[in-house]
Amino acid sequence: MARYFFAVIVGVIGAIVVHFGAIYLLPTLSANAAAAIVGVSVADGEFVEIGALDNRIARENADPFRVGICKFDLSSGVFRMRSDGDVPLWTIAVHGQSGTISFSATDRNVPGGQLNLAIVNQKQLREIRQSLPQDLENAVIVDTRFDAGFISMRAFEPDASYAEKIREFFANTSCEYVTYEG
Amino acid sequence: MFRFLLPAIIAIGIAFGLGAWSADQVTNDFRGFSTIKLDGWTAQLQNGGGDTDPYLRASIARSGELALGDAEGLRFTRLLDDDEDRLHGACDYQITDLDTDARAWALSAIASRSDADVRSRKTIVTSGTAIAFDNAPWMVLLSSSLKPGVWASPPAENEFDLELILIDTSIGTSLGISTPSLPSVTKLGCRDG
Repeated sequence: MARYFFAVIVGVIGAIVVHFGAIYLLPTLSANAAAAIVGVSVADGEFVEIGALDNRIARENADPFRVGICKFDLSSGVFRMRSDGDVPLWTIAVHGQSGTISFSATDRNVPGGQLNLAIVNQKQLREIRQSLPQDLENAVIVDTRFDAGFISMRAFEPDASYAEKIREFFANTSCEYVTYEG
Repeated sequence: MFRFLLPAIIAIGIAFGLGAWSADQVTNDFRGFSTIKLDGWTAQLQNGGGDTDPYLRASIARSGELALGDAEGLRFTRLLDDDEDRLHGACDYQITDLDTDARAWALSAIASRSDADVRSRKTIVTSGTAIAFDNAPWMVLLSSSLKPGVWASPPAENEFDLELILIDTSIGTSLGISTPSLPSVTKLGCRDG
């Protein structure tokens, strides 16, 4: 009898370990996680409006914001996202592969309300501090602790009359790698 | 050896069964500890930031939701009306105006998570469409049958949730307007069933 009692105690302690293991691993392992879906649906360096994707994040995050996504991998270089246009409000967030957000901003947080963002890791930050590449002179430099992830951009669509402006704004949004002499 | 086999199987079964079941339950129903409540609405602070509650991160990962960053805003949800009854598609509701410093906001109704794997959603009113209303402060009737005035239909015949996204708001910070108020949701009546 004591053996079974001991087995139950060990089982409950094991359940606590499994519970916390599952909670901490879900953001990395869940096939439904936004990062996992972006990983298979969006090409590296491509800006994609999620409404164009037939997947879970498109359906879970539709309306009334239009959302576009760029995927990055800093092993390919400094990642730059730029946009130009006149929309009522936009926001961005830099997500890591486990879904953690390292940086977020709205159009009011950047000079002139125009997006010009460079994502760098610690090593790249040290290098560009020594000699800032000409391409990044006007960019907001964001130091992120992850080497790979994605950027989400939300544009507020107050009503259908703004659809064309937002379409133009997204069409003028680019994501690219910037190479420099390290 | 066999006298230890059955206890070992019991221990492993409890560990994986109870551990996986509790993780499944908690990530479906619980959105972490960093919750703020305001006028019957709840939101999670540090939605996706580095210090995000692990339960909230796990719940977001399961849903496919794109978390809002701290600077972007807050996502409030509510499952109950002002009488603390579950929101249901068979009932009619009156939803009233809000008072917030957010630059933009959007109120949506979403089918319950238990109702479908991917939930249908409907935008009821936004800060952009509300300015077109003649009645200020505005009021929306949520009903599955047509109503006079500003009317919207619920997203599901069964239970549903309301979601209020506030963009660029000071709610949850030490700054901001002194008494923000979020929409009240008053039940007007229900059909049979």
